[in-house]
Amino acid sequence: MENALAYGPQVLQGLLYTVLLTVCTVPFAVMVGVTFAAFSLAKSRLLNRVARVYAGLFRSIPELVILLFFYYGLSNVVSTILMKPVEFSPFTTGVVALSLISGSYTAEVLRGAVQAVSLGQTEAALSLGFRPIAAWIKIILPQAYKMAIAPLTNVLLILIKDTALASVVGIEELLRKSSIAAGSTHSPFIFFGGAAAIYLVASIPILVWQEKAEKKSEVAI
Amino acid sequence: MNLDIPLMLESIPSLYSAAIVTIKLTVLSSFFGLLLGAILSLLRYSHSSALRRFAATYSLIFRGTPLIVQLFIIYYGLAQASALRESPLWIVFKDPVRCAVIALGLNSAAYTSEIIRAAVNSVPKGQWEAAKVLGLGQFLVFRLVVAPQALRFALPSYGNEIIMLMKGTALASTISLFDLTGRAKTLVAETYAPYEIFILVALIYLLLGLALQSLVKWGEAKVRLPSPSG
Amino acid sequence: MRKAIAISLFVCVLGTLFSVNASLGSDRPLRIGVEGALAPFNYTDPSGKVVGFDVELTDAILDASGLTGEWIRQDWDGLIPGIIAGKFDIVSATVSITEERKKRVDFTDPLYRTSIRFVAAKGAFLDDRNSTLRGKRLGAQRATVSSAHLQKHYPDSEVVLYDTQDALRLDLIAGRIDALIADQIATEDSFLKKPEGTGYEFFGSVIKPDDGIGIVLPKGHDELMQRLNSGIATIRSNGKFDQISEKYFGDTDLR
Repeated sequence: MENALAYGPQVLQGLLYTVLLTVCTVPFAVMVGVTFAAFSLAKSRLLNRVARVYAGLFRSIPELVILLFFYYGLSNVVSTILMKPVEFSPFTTGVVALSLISGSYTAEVLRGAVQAVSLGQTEAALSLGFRPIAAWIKIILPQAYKMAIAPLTNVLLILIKDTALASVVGIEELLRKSSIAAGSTHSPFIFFGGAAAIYLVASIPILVWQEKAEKKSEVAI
Repeated sequence: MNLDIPLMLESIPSLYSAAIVTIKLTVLSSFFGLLLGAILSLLRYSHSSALRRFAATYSLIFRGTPLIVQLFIIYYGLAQASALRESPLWIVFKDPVRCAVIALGLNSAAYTSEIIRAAVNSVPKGQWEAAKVLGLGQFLVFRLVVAPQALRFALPSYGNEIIMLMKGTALASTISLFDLTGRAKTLVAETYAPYEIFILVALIYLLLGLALQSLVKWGEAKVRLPSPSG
Repeated sequence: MRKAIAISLFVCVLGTLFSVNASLGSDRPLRIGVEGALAPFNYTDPSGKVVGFDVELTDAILDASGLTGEWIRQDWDGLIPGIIAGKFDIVSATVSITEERKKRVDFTDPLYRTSIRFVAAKGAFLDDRNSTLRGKRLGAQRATVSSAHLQKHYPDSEVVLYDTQDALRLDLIAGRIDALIADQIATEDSFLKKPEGTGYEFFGSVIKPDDGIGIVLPKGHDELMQRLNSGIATIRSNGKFDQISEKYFGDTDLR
């Protein structure tokens, strides 16, 4: 029970959950982000307001509290709406909560990128005879995409780190497995240090890639 | 789902004092983070490659690992070393509030240094040369030409960073502090009313976040240039 | 490559959507909430399984009642809120039966009794009187009978609360708290008997703060309650309880 090495496989299993959680959250976060970015750019005041409230909520409330909220509330709220008992697995709860958290950052980045491009360019495109949709697809989005890449990798990094809080909804990810091992072996330094090293190794390629992407965009400007 | 409204009202006074702890942690660690972040970003422009590398590695480590892990290492991990416990530094590390401020500040410094660096880089290099040609010394160029523009560039991201920091203080509950989240967890343990307590706490965080956001907006308006095209 | 990524993402998305447990049938195994961090009562072995006295005892009770269960680990302070929110069908994790808890959840008949006791560095304190511990930093795990004991009887001391027993013990060793109070058997087994616990000892009285340890159920699940209680009666009469108790505690009688 005291042997730190014996807990290795468990920690690795935790890492697997961290990776799975991140990978499964990304597509949903993008969907949520695109939707709310579109809302905040739409001409409807109501949609603008919905997007603002969403961003305000998810940017102000700590991730830990949001996750606790979803843990206690998601099944109950959905059951009430559908009027039949539904129970979400911890993993689903985690993906939903993290997608909404990450989606709020994604929406902000996308909105910022589109606004940075479209000042005047939409009008220019329209006066050149582009239809609005064509102007979006051919002119605005390609440029916004370039601008958004670096900040979006930041959102991804934040997501990876936020998965460390997902143990409160019952997911036994890397940090959870590490704390169990740290508690059982009474070696907090080894296991928390080890977990830190693993997160770092996972993040470094993304950080390096991000720096390169930033340099490229500087050249482009 | 019926909410126990009287219970929520009863909980407000004890959550109020906990909110003060959250605000205190945010203010102290943002101050510490800004100071250290400014120093780190200076190192990034240092002539010594060792210092440059140190600052870059620092930023990489603190941005690449979860805050909660940093907090655990600084609070529970470092205390394992009897050398630290017997040193005068222990006065600092013995206290959970100071540990939380150190962990949050060290973390925030990494992000702040990146924000400052990006802001300074956003000022075209030609301006440095142009100002030098006009006879300004390096410090004056920074003070009069670069800093005002960099500030304008940095403020929105710095505002985000402070809000992130405020949210990060929620993790201080894991090292025995009675901040908003710590107090909420204890209240839930006493009342077994998780919905009521967490709804209330979420609302308080929301208010704090909105206050910070409007503070940042006010700051942005202060440093904004009069718009040329109206 | 891109196609492979796209396909795996798609599979993930589908997998997530369908991992919803839509069916809540009656014959599925009970979801048993447990902390898994209180050796020897319930703890996690290196392979990740929850084991211990609570686990063997509860499995025997379920067996005798014709029920099955799966163990789900959750933070200690999330267990009873988890029952209330419908995350677990029962919780079996050395949970004390107290009047406060009975207002929100139901308990089975008592399974066994434990006690709590103060621990500090050897010779630090002679007794646990309020006046002795005045102004001291006293630690306990949040949401336990120990933390309730501190908050009720030591208004002149600084009460410090932790999420886990491990964190509590680490801070006693670090000297950030002057004394801790916790379950006597668990503290002896996984702290005082260990190398890191050699400099520490129990002090003060042995406190029995509760009406015993029970299995927790949500309010109003009377049929399940009856089945569990009859299971408890069965393992008490057929010698199973004594057998498990002896395996973990030898001659010490926990009844």
